[in-house]
Amino acid sequence: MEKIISQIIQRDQHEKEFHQAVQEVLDTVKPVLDRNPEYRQQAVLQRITEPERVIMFRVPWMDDQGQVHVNRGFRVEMNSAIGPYKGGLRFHPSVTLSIIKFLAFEQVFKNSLTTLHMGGGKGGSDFNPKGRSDAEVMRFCQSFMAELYRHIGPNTDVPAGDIGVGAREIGYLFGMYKKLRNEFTGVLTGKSLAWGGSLIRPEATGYGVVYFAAEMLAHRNETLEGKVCLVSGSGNVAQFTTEKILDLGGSVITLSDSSGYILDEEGIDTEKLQFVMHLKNIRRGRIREYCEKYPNAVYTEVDPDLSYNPLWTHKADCAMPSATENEVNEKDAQNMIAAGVQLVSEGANMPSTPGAVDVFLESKIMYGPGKAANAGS
Amino acid sequence: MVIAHQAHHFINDFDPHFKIFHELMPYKVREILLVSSPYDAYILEEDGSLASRIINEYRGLNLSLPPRITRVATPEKALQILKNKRYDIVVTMPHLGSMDTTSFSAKVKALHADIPVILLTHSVRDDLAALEVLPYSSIDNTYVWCCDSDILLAIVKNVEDEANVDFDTRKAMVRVIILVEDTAVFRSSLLPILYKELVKQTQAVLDEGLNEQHRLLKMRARPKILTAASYEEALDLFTKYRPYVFCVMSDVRFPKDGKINGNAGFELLQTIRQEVPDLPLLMLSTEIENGKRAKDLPAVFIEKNSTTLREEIHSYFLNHLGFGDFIFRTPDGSEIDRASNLHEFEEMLKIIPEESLVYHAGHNHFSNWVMARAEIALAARLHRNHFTSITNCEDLRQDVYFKVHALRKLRQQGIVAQFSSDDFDPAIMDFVRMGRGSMGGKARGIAFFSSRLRRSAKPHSIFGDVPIVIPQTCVITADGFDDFIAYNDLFSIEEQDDEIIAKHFLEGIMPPWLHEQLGAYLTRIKYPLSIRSSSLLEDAQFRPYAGLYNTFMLPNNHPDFAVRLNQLEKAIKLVYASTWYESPRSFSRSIGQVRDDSMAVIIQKLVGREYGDYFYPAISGVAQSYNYYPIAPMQSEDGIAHIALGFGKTVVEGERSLRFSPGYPKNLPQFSTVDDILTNSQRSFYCLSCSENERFVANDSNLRNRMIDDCFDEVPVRLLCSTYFPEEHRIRDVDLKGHKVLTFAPLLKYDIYPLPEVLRELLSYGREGMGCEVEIEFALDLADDPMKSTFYFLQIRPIVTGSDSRQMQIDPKEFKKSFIASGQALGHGLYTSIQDIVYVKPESFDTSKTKIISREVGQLNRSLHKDRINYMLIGPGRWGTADPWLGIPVQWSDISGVSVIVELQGYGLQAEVSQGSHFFQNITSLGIPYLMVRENSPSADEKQIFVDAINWNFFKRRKIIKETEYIRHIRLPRPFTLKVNGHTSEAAVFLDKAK
Amino acid sequence: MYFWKARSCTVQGRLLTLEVDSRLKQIMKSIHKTSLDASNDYGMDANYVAGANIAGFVKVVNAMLDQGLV
Repeated sequence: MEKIISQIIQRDQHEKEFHQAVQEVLDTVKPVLDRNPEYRQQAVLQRITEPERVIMFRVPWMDDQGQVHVNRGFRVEMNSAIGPYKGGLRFHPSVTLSIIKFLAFEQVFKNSLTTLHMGGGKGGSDFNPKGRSDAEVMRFCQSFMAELYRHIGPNTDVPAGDIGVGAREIGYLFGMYKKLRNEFTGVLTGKSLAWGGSLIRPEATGYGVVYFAAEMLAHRNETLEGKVCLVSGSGNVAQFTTEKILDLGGSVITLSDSSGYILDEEGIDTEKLQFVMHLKNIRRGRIREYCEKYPNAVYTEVDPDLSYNPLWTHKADCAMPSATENEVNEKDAQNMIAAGVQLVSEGANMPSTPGAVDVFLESKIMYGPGKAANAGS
Repeated sequence: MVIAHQAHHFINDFDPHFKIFHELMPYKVREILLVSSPYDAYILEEDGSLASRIINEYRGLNLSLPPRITRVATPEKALQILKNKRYDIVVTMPHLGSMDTTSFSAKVKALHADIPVILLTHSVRDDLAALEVLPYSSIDNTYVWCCDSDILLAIVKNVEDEANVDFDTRKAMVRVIILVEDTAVFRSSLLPILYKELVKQTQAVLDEGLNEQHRLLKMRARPKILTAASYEEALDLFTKYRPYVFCVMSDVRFPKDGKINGNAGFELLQTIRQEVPDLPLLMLSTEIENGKRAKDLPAVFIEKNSTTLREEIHSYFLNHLGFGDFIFRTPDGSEIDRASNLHEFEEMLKIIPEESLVYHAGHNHFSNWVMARAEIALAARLHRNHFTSITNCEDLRQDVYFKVHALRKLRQQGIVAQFSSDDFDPAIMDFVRMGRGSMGGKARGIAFFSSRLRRSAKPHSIFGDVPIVIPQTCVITADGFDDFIAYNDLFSIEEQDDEIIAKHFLEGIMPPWLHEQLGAYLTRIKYPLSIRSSSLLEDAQFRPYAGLYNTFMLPNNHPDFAVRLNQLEKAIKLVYASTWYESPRSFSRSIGQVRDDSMAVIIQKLVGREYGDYFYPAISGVAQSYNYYPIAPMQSEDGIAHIALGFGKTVVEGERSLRFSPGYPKNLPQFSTVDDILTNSQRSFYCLSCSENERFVANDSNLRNRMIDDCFDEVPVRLLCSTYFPEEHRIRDVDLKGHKVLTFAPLLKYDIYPLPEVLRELLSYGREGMGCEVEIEFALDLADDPMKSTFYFLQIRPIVTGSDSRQMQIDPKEFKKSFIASGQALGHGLYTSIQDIVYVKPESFDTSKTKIISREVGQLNRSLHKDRINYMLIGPGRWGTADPWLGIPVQWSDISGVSVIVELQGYGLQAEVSQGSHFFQNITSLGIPYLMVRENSPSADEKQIFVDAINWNFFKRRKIIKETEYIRHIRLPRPFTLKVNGHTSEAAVFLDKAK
Repeated sequence: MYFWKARSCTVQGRLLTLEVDSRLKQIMKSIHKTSLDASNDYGMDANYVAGANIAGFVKVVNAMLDQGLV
């Protein structure tokens, strides 16, 4: 196996992120390969790590002052074995082929778990939309789609939005697609409701996390009823995770943001949740304002000197990390278990460090990794 | 202070800059050559030197540039001089020795045909008949010296008038008086009287608001006097200058058809009377009997030998020539009312009966009266020809009224008028002062800029289409402060605590003159006011002092006048008190300012309007003419602006406001994504509560802070917001049902008002006017039709950059010895007190570890900040980025002690400044230099001096204070020098050898 | 507070339509089962990490083999 991996590294030496992702997946599936010589004979590993198609293209556009810029566009169509390619488009100056390839690779496996038929792909450009006027973004999107349209379609490849590609960009991209193809189809995810889009369902991830947790509990003949849960974060995922937990009879006592977290021993009920939703989604305030509204709750500011997050030290049954990558380290994991946590269901993408994952696995608690738990959509 | 739209166009036809006056009277007498025998000269000079008497004459009449007189004794000498030097007039006296005056004058003409030659005799008898009857073609005119040097004045003026009349009448419709008088004696006695009278009267009716220069200029448009000595001459003049003649003064006996005719005067006047029925006519005669016939013409009669000649002429001017009051009469002649100045005139126009209005308009009286005041353009506009098309009397009234009003307003713009309790008209006086002391820097800046704006009139300037004004401003000069202190004997409490100072000041009493004027002011002013300080210390114009003195805002709408006055005075007293508070004093001490501050106070109309119970302007903002942190495609020269809804406190206090470059208003880095917009847009704004006007509250507490969410119905909020659709996570720039977000999109993206253009022009104006970079405070009151909104400019001050460009020029030698050099630096200044450097170790840097690095930096920063150690921070990628793959994702709190930031590009990390974030805002507002260094390969081109570079060897041997896995903190033996040149974006950091 | 009520969904809270919600539930159930089965299959007791990786991998790889060498 190492040979295969070193071959992959050798072939594209500078694609460090891609190598890392490949390494992780391959490590996990080693037992499968061992058991199934057919896979080895058919060089499944080599095939799965090579994108079916990589499209790299020039995207020239003119800014408002008449100056010409040239960016690079990518679409990596990684794997369409179980469905047409599906994955987002990212417009960000950090975008390189390596990054897109790595994201596409991950997308294949993310998508494969759902029952829907979705292959994996990813795309984007090193264009930076920050500070650009509407007109400039439009011209860029049109130039981008002028090439991409040849390669996508409702049954071929369905891009969605990602970093730097929001509703505005999807709108421009779709408009150009429609113009060039002369068809009105579901070729992009994230279109506006008024013209054929379906609702962005931010609740899907959050609810999914809780449903997965419920399944894990059901497997042990338990339910969420009466369970005390620690939730981190306060964005969409955390909000809907909380909502669903309440729905299923559990209680949530924490929420957080980058400045700190709140602990409400009385439990965050529906009304308080509404407050948080308004605070975060509309007012863009800080979670500490929760304590101003509900004085019985306690706010703790982030202490950068601390090597663990005190949020995970409170007595609880379940933990749903829904804030950000690598927010739960080894010490946090240990604290959780010490506090009585029996179940971890990840709402965020890779919120636990490898060390924390090891702790969870070793302790044999119910651990639903993000890959599985937040795959719902 | 909104100009009536109708009259607005009219104003552009005016020449508001007195340019036209500059061109009038192009011919001026400067040099007089006087040819007289020593004896004649002696006679002339008996009562004192001629030269000085001429000067005195001129001075006495406030005329400028008295001519010089050169005297020669003989005609030969004169001719000789004339060959070499130019003279404007040659005045010759009769006894010239060898040559007679006729031949002499002929010879003069031979040399210079255009120089007038005037014969001045001092004896009536000298060749009288010959002189009078035979016109000497080479002698232009004759006068008799009657021991009064004002004859010279008259001679000079008359020569000038004759030379200038063609041009002046064509150019500016200057009026003409024709004097028909053949006798040199009477001519010589009448002309000086007439001229003196003319000059004095004209001066008397000129607007007091004008300054000296303007008055002198306007004098040039005074009526001209032309002389004729015969019937034919007179009629010729009349015919030639007929549209401009506004009076004919005539003798009775003078030549007609070559012979003296005792009836000539009557015939002349009759002829003229038939042509122009209502032209003022004056008959002058020595025979009193002629008076009756004169009445029949009709004409006014004055007896030439009358002892009260001067008085009679004086009252003639006053009553018949449009000088003096305008007397509103009914057609039958009975007086209704009189107006002694334009202000009263304007007021009366509104109420006089129709028949009087029509009568005066039709007879051209308005035009004449106004013309006497040298208001040329207005006179043209009020000429009866304009009214022939107007049939409706009310329309006529409106028309005349608006024209006069517009003129008065125009005259007052940009002028600092002295406040007078009787005369204060807030509708047209936009800048008044109370007291006679200094106005202080702030007020001066406003006055200066306001007058400059008026003079702009660049063709195609945006100022032509868009009204830009200052809000009505009243300055209480520094003697108000001085008097207040003295009157209340407050010197003793100078060093006390702030509260005690405030208490004593509040208990003090306003000096009576100030109290009285404030009262008069307040009776006319009923809108909300701001009261601010205008310190006399020059430094106070610059930022450091801003905010140290108090500002007050008053709704000024309490029904009880006494309460309003009391509030106003309280505010002023507290502004005065703040001069002595601790913070400004300690600041003064710290910058070495020893002089005691004195204080002027600016009372300014608050810009805005009422929306329900609240009063606020749609937009307030601050703009600077130079942007030291330009992000592509912005250019530094376009400057930078910050705007907010409501009062400018939002901007000044650094709360959420929108930052944009007037050159690129559609590029808004703060609003790049939907999330950015939701996070960075203004949430709340300041307004004045109008219902709470009872209590006077100190400081800005009259201001209310309201959430934009609560105010969607108010026009400015609706006009400037876009709508957010949460289910699509999308913002549309339309006014639909949904959550409102203040994006200013209609303004900046869709140009409902050309704010960026106005700011661009205004900033470049300011820069030119002050000779350095400037900062302007402004407010925009959006009208229902936004294009018709009024832009108010509130304050202008020079920006201190601390060091000007020359000093910041980086020497190639400095570049050579630098250990960090950058060709892309943001910021500006010289930094010589930093010794500590914290940098990310290049050898152990790992892009996947940026979060850890950011934590380490944060910890180190805290300890450095605690010890108040300033440091330079160096690291790869964009500091403060949210994306850990782009750089070190520090928060502002992680680097709060930093003084300089260096970003190294090219470590596999792309760079783009997170322009909209608070991180970047902090950098710009604190003026922290941000250097971007693109590391080149070692083999850099020698010739390229300004190449980005960082010399890692420099860091190797340094004293290490602290080291972690990824970062290192070192301290240099002495502070390094950092030079950032904001104009060229270059920077260099170097360490000089120890001294 | 802004509510966008339609037949389908209110954004700031409450349920998805019943059918969408129950569909989601089904999906999560299935993901759970798949991961669990895969994990057990390879002798790791309820290790969802391994289970998810393996399940996903196997699903994709099997489909690839089905579709021939393309």
